[in-house]
Amino acid sequence: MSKERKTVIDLKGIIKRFYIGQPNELQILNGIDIKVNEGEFVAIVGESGSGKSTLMNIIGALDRPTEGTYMFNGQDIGKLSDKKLSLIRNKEIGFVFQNFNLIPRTSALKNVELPMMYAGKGRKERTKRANELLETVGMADRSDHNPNELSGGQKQRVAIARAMANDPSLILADEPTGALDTKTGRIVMDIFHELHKSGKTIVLITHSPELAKETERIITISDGCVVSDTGGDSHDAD
Amino acid sequence: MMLIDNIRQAYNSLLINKKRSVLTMVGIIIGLSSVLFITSVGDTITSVLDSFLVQNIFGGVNVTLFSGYSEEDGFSKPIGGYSFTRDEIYDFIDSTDDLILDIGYSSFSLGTGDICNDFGEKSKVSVTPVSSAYEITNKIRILAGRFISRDECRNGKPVAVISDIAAEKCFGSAEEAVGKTIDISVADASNNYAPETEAEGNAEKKFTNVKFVIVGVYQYIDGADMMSYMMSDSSEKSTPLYSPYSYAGSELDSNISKARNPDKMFILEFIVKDSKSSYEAQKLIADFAESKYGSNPNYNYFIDNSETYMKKVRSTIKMVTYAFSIIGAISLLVGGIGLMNTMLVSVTERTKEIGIKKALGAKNSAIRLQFLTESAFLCFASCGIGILFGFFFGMLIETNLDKLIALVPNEGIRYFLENTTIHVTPSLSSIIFSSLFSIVVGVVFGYYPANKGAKMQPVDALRYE
Repeated sequence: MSKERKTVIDLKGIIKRFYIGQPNELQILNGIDIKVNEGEFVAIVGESGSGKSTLMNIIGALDRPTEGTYMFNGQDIGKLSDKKLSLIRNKEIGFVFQNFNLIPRTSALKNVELPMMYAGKGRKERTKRANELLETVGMADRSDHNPNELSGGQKQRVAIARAMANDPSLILADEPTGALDTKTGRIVMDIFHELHKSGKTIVLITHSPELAKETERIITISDGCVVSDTGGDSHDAD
Repeated sequence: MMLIDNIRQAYNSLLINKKRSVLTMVGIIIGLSSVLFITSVGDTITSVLDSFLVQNIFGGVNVTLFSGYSEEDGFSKPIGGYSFTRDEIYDFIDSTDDLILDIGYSSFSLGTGDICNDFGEKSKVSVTPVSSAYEITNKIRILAGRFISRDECRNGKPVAVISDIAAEKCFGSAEEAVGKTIDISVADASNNYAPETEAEGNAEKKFTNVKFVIVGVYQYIDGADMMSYMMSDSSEKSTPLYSPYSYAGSELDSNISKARNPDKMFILEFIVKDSKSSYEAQKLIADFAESKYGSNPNYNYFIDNSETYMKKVRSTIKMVTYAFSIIGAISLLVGGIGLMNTMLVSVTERTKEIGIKKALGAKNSAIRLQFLTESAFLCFASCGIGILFGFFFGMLIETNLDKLIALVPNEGIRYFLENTTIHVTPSLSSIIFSSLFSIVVGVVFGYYPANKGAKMQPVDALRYE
């Protein structure tokens, strides 16, 4: 079954440097090779300062690698224009952030509608889909609340609904439970499991080993290198 | 992304910072209102000054034919024989379909005399030869009867229009006076104006008896007629009696009328309906001159058009208006810089929001459009309010125009202003101009901040706290 699967993320020799050419030049990623197939639930674990946030930015097409190639669904991210990257972030990647990153003073419904608005979908279609998504994360009754009227867990559920808006091929979650208590964190994790079951590719970035154990594959990062990669079903060298 | 979404978004984010939005708008409203106010006041002054000059300096829109002269000769040449008879002139005027009203004939009074009634009551009048166009060019207000007609000027009919003062004194009322025949002993006034031709100190005056039928009574305004105002007889107040130049001039054989013998005219001043028609009239007049003397190879003529001078005056006034508009535009510029400042603060404040939107797939252009819509929205709203203000103040002035004009000390100028249509409300062109200008300000001053937001790197923007 594994051979039939499509590769979603294909990182080869990814190096990321900051302040290039300046005395304080800094290399955060020292050649990362990771391959993630469609339908996988992967956890990227690392201490703070290990470079996992930088890695996430690259995986999420928010940033380009300094060296190495990153193929996302067969497209070379390093060579695409800003406009193309926007399109990929819009249609193929759903972000879930630690601090929710909902647009302030904008209702939950409008927040979920936003990616669809950028995708150029019509108002009626947007509202319908946004309501459906809020329903699936159990937030239908709060759709007209602004973020400041929602609890952390509720905010994160809205954020997940928003990440799902354009039915992306990858969900990228950066410490999604980091700002939540155990109980609400549990609810959020359950939603991720649901999504995984429905066939979504999920990359979860966390520093918590317990959370990582819930996934089917754990990639550990330290000092900008992959130190271990366990539990996956296909991670050949090439 | 759809325009409506953008406008809605802009509206919402402007509501979030109400005070800041309002203050920014105030700056633009002040700038815009000043542009609007200055342009509309400029328009008003231009049109009022225009008609004031046409009436009081040129004596109406006139086109003058100098028959037998070339422009270079000036008047060095002796009086030529290329004259026109009154019948020829009036046949021509009648053929222009009221484009030309009459010939222009404004003169000093030919002499003064008393209107007497049966009871011996007297009112001094100064016999003033005019053409029928005088009613229009000098905005004569007729109270009873009518003014002298063109036909009466052509045929030299013994008719007259007298002032309400004379009418009331001698006949009781304006209505009573119409139709009455008066016989006046007129003292020749030529000595008053040309003393050097007569023996100095020769007090003996020539008297001529002249008969008139009163056809109308006009409202006398002190100082309305600049000419009589300047020349008014200080010893005794007289009011003008208007009579066809062709009648009064021939009856009163004064030096003045001799010099302008209406039967041998080679300098012809035509009064034209309005300034728009003056060039058409000029063409007709040239044809008229050509038709009589065109076959003569020695004949030359030139035509002087008051519109030519008015154009120069108008362009000068326009320049002044433009200069003031530029000052108004500078205040709009200051408002625009205020807008840019606000938008820059807004973009910086919302860096995180920009980062989130970019992560969700907003293109640079979408971010730019969002902020541009916001600044254009601010400007457009300000523009609407500015125009409302302009209308409000314009209306306020216009409805109280009578009271304002009543404050003018000179009766003549006041009379002139009362008879001129004055619009102070912004004209359509100035509204269009300022709306376009405000959108330009919105886009120009909004572009830099909007672009700053659009160019942010998503990673940096997301990390911004």
